[in-house]
Amino acid sequence: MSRNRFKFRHSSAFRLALQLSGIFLISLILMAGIAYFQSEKEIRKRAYRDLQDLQKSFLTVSQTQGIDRLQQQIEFLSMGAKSGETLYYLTGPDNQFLAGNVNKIPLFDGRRDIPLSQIELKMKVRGDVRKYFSLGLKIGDGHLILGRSDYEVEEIGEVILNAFFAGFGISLFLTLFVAFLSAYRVNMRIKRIESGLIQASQGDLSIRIPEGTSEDDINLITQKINRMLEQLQATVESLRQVSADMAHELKTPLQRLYQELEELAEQSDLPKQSAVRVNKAFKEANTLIETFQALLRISQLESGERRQGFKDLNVTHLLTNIAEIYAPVAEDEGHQLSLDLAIADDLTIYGDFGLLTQLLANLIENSVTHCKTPCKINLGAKQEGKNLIISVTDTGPGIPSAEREKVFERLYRLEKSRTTAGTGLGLSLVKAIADLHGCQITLEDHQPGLGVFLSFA
Amino acid sequence: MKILLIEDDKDTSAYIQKGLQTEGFSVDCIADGHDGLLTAAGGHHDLIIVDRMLPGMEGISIVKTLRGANVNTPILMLTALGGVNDRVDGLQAGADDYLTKPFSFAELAARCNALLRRPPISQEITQLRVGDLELNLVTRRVTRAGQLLLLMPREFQLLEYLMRNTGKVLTRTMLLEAVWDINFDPRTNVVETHMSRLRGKVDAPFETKLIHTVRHVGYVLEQK
Repeated sequence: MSRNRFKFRHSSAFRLALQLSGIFLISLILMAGIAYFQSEKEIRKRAYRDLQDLQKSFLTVSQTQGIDRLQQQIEFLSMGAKSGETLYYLTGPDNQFLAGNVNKIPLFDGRRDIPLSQIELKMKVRGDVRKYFSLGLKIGDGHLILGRSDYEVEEIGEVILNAFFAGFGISLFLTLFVAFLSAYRVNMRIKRIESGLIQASQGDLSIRIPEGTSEDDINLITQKINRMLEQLQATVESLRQVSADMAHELKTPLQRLYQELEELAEQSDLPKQSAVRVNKAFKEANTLIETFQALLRISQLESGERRQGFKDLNVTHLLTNIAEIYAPVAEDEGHQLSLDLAIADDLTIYGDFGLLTQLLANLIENSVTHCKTPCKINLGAKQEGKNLIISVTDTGPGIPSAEREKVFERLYRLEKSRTTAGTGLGLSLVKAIADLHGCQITLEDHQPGLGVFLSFA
Repeated sequence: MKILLIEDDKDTSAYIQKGLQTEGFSVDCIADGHDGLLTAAGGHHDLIIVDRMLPGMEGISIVKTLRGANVNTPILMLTALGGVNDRVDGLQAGADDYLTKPFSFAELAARCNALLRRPPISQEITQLRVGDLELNLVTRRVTRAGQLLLLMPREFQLLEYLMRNTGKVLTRTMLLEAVWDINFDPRTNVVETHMSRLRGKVDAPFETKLIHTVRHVGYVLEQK
């Protein structure tokens, strides 16, 4: 059954797991962000502290030993600072370059984060650097600029990002795995409940859904459903018993009525007028019996008992047999019955041969009796996806769309056919047989005429 | 011919007894299931008619017990239930035929006759013959007065059933069950239609008619 195929995205357990994964992802992102900003803050604090110490010592040098000595010291340091981790830049009057490992850098007084793009370094920067934490100071007529690269921040960012992806990947895998597993298990249990309910709705009230040992919500529902089924079964059983008793009680008087009428009809000394009336009464008794029989049959079909006799049936054989029986009947009534098979010869359905024969016979007989003018009746079978569609179509008067659903109701008859013979139970019987086979039945306008379509899953 | 009738409804029982006696049978009536079983087991009857619902013991159990005890007397089962499963249950239990109440006496009589004169199953027949009509079960050829008749498969089956029961009245219901496997009452003239086609081939071209209509009951094939 394709419509029952397990879809993870429709499972509530899977959805919950997905939502949890989402929440986990968001919190992971937040955590990573916080860690990143915290570490950047810490690194910056350290960088400025280092730069401040450096600046302080340079200032002491320039104050005690003069700017030339400072220039010498910076030149010496710049030569060693090849990695670009630390920047030195000293200018004299008119901002003329005195010493440092930088060609060009904005001059300022105080603290500033200077992006790499605004700096022209004398060497290649090693590592991933985006900006320099910089400290500027006016010394005499010039400036002393010191800088420290942020490569540590980038490095830590990378570490955090890697950890984030690894963590998220692993947790996503784990949550999805657990989600699939629990969704699958929950779904299996729900499916058991579902199939039990379907079987019950098809009339088998003796079905019970297997109960697990745990005390979870699904099990509680399962237990409730089973209790409900028990009660329903008991109710239906007692109803059926009453019907069976009633049937028995009614049939005996019906049999006697029949006997009386039969004996009366055989009396040769009956006045002609009486004989006619006895015959009429005989006919009425027959209709009574027929209606009674059909009602009994329908209620027995609805109980689902008959399903025990189901077998795999060859569809071609079933339809050919019906066509063989009814083609001459239709012909005698002036109609034409054709068989139109578009299915594999060995296609089978699971069902009851006698009942399906009766179902199709009923539909064809409806066409034969309700079509007053010669018409074409077609019995067809085709495959539509996984479903087998058996159809009975005619070119007769059809059924008004407003009445199409009602014709399946017991004892319902179209206004125009009330005068003709019949119990009004034919289509109810058809519906009961179709339901027993889990078959969808639809009536369609065949323009002109009626199309009855039976869809077997 | 002795018939045992096990039926608890007095009116029905009297009606069947009277009817069957008129047909020339001798009928023993028993109302209780247990007594019925004991009498039937005696094996002094040619046919047993048993109601499905009985005081003492159910009809189905009686049939099962009899068959289990190797009593092979033909059994016709009657039922007031008339549900779809009852027929199958009855036949599976070992009844030879099944009739739903209410029924007409003609139907009952026809079925009794068919059961009583049923030939032993072991006997292999390859050829059926009534007058100048011959039906070969092996070659599936049908001839009349030496002339080959071309029959459709179902017409052949219908004729075979009629010929196997030559001289016996076969009701519409019996024909529907035996030839078309139909266990419901069709609203159209299924039997009449097929019968008239068969007659068109078997009887129409010839002077002597073999298939006869029995009004209100059914058909019989015989040379009168």
